[in-house]
Amino acid sequence: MNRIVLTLGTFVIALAVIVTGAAALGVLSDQGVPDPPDTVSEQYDPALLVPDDTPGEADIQPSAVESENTILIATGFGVNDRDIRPLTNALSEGDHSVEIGEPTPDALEAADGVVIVGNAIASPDDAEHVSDFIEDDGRLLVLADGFVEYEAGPERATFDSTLGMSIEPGYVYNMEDHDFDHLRIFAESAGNDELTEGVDRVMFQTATPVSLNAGDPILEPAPGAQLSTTRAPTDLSVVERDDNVVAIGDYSFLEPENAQRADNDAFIANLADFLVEGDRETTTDEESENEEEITDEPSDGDLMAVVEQYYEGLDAADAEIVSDATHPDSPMSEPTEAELEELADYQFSIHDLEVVEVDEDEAIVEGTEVVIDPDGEEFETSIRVALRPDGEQWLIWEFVPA
Amino acid sequence: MVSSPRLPALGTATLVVLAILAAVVAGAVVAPLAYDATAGVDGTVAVVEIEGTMAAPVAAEVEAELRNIRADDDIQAVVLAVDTPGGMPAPTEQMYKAIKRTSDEMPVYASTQSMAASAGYYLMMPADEIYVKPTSQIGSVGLNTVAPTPAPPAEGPSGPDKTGANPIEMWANYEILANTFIETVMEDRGDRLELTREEIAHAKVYPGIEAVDNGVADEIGSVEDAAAAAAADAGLDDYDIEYVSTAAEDQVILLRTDDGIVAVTDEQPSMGDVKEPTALLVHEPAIPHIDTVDSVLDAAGTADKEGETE
Repeated sequence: MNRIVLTLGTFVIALAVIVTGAAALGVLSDQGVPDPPDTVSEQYDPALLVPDDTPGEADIQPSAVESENTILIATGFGVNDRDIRPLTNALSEGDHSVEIGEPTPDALEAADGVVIVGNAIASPDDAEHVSDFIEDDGRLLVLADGFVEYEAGPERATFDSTLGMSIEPGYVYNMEDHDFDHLRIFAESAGNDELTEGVDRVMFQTATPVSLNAGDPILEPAPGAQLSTTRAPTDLSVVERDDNVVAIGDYSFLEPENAQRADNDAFIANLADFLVEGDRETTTDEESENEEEITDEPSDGDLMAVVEQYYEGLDAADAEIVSDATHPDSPMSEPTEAELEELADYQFSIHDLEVVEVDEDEAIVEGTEVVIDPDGEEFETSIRVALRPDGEQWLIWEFVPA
Repeated sequence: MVSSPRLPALGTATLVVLAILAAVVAGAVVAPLAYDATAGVDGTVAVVEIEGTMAAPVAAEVEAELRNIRADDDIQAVVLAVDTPGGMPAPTEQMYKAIKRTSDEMPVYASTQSMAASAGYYLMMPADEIYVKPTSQIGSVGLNTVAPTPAPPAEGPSGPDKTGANPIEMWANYEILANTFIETVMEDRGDRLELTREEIAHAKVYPGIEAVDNGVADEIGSVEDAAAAAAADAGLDDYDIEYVSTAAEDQVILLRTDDGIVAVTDEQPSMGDVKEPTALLVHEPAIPHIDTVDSVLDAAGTADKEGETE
């Protein structure tokens, strides 16, 4: 009996020792995922990494006393309303008219200032029209698109050469001093000009250098700027001015969010002033002056009397009477003495006159023209005559199809 | 008196032969133990292969393998064999931290034979030394992104930033990402760089021979050279090399398009498998254009059809 108890007891004790030892070994071996060792990364310092992300505010306050000017804005592909809204708003708030369209002769005729945004101009005709506009004291603001040279054909070179303008291949960037990104450079005043009044620095998002043959630099890149094509420091100006022409190597500085950066708002206000402070006399100005001179609307009798006077002149072969009844700017050529001599044997008269249309700048009179040739044969023709004001008078402008 | 037993009367020569036989028998038992004691290696250098697009699947593999390496007493040093044009910021930072933990415990060397650009270079920052070949491409410190654009008003979201932050705030966020990468390089390698912070931020890719000269890398050499240096650093006279693949099953492919870079997560992608990452750490010229991929697929398709008709 004692031998059995001794044997079992020995077995139990030995088993307990083995199991306990295995459990202890399991605890000590720690088979789970070990804690990751601590690492030190001193560069993760908010003071070092996190910039000020306050969007800023824009206060665009043009100072020009001019009002009721017309500014024509021609925009190229990809230019949205919002892209230029700070400038157009500044013009609207100054009681100026903003016209969006192509620089056609008619559009330019009525414009005091013109803005060319991006690659808006391509044809040689456009270039000629704008060139004439500048010679006639019009003010021109050219906002180049730095991306165009990579995506568009060379047609723009015609326009640029007509104006004596050069756009430098490549773009300006600054690795040392920029607004969040190397492309968002700052430019500083290159001298005294009304365009930089109240302007310390302007932020451009994609600036390319521009120059005008007879121009002066207005804004130059801040120190640290480099040119993409050379990877070398550059001080080539991104804004130049030649009297009535201003060339800028970017237009994205006008965007609402960018207008809030640096002194962009003051610069935009100065550009608005520049556009409306030219000396150009537009057709709109002349028409306004004419409107002031015309105090009374013409009566039907006055209008018909002018037409009757014209026919009396023809019937009498009197060039002076015909000329007096004809508007001095009329596109009709005045009859020569020789022509009137040939007409001397004809008889002219006008009947059944009726004023069918009158507005501010043109009136239409209809009637029946009777011509008797030297053989006594009579011809009747319905006529339609346009008259336009010349000072206080209304005179024949032209014969229009009945 | 009792007499002691007596050895048989053997000659001297016989005794010598018996002694040699006994020594041979005993040596046969003991010699292998002695050989093992002198011929065994001191430890192992793990070569961790990191290739392709640096995205979440690869990051998970790298992190797990490095955890195993740290727990393996046989491994005393690591070489990162990197070949990548870059990838996503967050997975890259995940790998960077895992590598940094490992480098705190044992020598970690890095090597690239072809390209370690952007995110690939970021991973190398905790390494003790970087080995390159003369024509390897290495560097591209910076962020790829597209300029933020303002979002029109959207009815429904609870806050204005649900549909896109203010562009200025987004620019600031991008600058944080770029600064983190640049400052990491300056912190980890600034004492060896011959370049200024601005020059590093240019994001240039350097040929290996130039990289060693300007401090972007340390030595010209192969993976084996890096392994030898890592082993020496770990005090290993003799060592094994264990290659560790981190290739993930779910690969991410980056492709350039005319509107930016897209990430494709399936070989036969549906719309849901194609995403437009807003920010990347990649060397963009090294990313294949989607048109070239189409051409390859078209050519492969044509070849298949020709094969079928033959």
